Amino acid sequence: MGETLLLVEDLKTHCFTRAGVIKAVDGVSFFVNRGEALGIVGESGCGKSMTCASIVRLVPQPAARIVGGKILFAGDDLLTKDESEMREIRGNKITMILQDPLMSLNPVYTIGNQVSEMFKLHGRKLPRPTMKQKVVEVLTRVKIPSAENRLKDYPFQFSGGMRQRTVAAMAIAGEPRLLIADEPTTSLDVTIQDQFLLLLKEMQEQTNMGLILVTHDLGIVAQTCDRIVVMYAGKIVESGDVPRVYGGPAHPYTEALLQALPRIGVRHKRLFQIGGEPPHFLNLPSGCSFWPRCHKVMDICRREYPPSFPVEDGRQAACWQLKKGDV
Amino acid sequence: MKRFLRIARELPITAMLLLFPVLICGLFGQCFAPHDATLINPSLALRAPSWLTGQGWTYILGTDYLGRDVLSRVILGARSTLIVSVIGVVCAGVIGVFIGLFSGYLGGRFDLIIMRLVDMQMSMPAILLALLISAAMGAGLTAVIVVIAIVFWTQYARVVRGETLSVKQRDFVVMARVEGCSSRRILVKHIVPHVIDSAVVIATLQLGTAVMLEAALSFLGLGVQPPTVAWGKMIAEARLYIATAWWLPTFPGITIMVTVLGANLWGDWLRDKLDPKLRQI
Repeated sequence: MGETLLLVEDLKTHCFTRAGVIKAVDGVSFFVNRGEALGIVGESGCGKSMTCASIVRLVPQPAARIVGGKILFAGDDLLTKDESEMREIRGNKITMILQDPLMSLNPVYTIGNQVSEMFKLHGRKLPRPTMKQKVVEVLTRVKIPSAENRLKDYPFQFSGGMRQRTVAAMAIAGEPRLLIADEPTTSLDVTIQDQFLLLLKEMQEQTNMGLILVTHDLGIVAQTCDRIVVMYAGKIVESGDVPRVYGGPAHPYTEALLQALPRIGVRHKRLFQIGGEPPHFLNLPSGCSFWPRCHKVMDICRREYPPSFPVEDGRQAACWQLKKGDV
Repeated sequence: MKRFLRIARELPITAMLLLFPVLICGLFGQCFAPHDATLINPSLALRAPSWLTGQGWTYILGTDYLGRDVLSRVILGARSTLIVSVIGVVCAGVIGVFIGLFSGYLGGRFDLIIMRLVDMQMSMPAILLALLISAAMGAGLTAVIVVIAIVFWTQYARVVRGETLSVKQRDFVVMARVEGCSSRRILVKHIVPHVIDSAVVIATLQLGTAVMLEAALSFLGLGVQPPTVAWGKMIAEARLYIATAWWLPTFPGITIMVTVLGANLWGDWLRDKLDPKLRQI
């Protein structure tokens, strides 16, 4: 793969609440290469969205703050940029697709107006006809049928899938180098979800941009991504190539997640489930956060958080199991 | 065209019928007022409405204690009422919307201070505040406008702040931020269109209240000063003659009532059209 586009190093984003400090993102490191799709997977509230918000520096202030680490985008540390420099980067170099397509479009403006806004925002003032052509072009790219007739439509006249594709059109309008999609398909039904993921993949391959796909659906990652990062309680527990991680998960959490997937052709008496509950951020267990739910728990797990152990080339997992095992 | 007709059919006829004459009187009153409203003629003082006494159509609504024609005064009084209430309400609206927007958008300490200020002002009786301001500024047209602006801005500030708080949480605002919108652009393009409806509704509903406040101030002698004609002033002057010349307070009273009713009906209609959520205001 190409050169590193985004390198996140030891990122820490904490929320300061009355009840205490919530370490939503606690020392997360990962990278995305050009033209590569990275999947970030984890349960609800494990810090996936917070990680994404940190990359574009839009964590909900003042409660949450990025307290440490580095976010290198094409070699530049984003954490040292000021607000106006960040505005230049957002939408231009890094864009994001939010969870709910029904809410991401402003109901009071037409589709055409909102998409052309993307061109206007980044100093690309164009004469009207050219602008219209551009908008139609980008909407056609995301497969909105007869786009030129729908420019004057309002968001409520679009279906959920079309709205999501419009949001995608807005995201790629600025020809970004990195696209962050934060659970882009949660509010779509399965067929539309599939279409949308194919589209996302296609756009990514065409423009050779980096893609970060946040989801809790391992199936989506398998279909779309090259590499996967599994998060648990604000930390990365395993990362590596999708086929290899799926083939032989190194961390018990990943293993459990994969087991919990229903498979076609296999008769399940009852679908596997991970016992217990995700830990509360204010009351994390000592040592490894996963140990109360882990079936391979050892003494050391209860005392100390495991460092990242290399599993094989480009694969890492944070589990004590790997220390004495076959490294 | 079709769309235009559809809107026309839904217009509130009653409110328009009530308000339209007031508007015409306010704009072109001089052109058709039968007499000079300020011309004093003691020999004609306190005449009853002419259609009651069978004296033809000269002084249809009678004359006051200085012999001035009541009908002409009612017609010309519309102007000061309109000027004061419309300008006052618009000023209040502009101030209130701005403060509400910033308060809701910026949040934090600024928001806290502004909202406590609003609370403080709302706990003070409006008429007392009005008395204080016009006493300090000296009575007159400007004073009444300032009073209306200062008494009424708080309602906008509260409602607009609340709406801003909820709109700024919505995904399209987050989206705009992700796209690289500046705060100013987000406010103007994404938040204002969502809060302006409520502000317009409040403005129309306040119009009636503003007319009443203006009348009350004029009644207390703190409103517009003679020779400018105002309805409240007419009622104030008439209170000595209430037992002998009922027409003096009655006709300006009816006009005030009609105007306030019209403004409220119009406001209700607009509220239902624009934002049914605002029912409680």
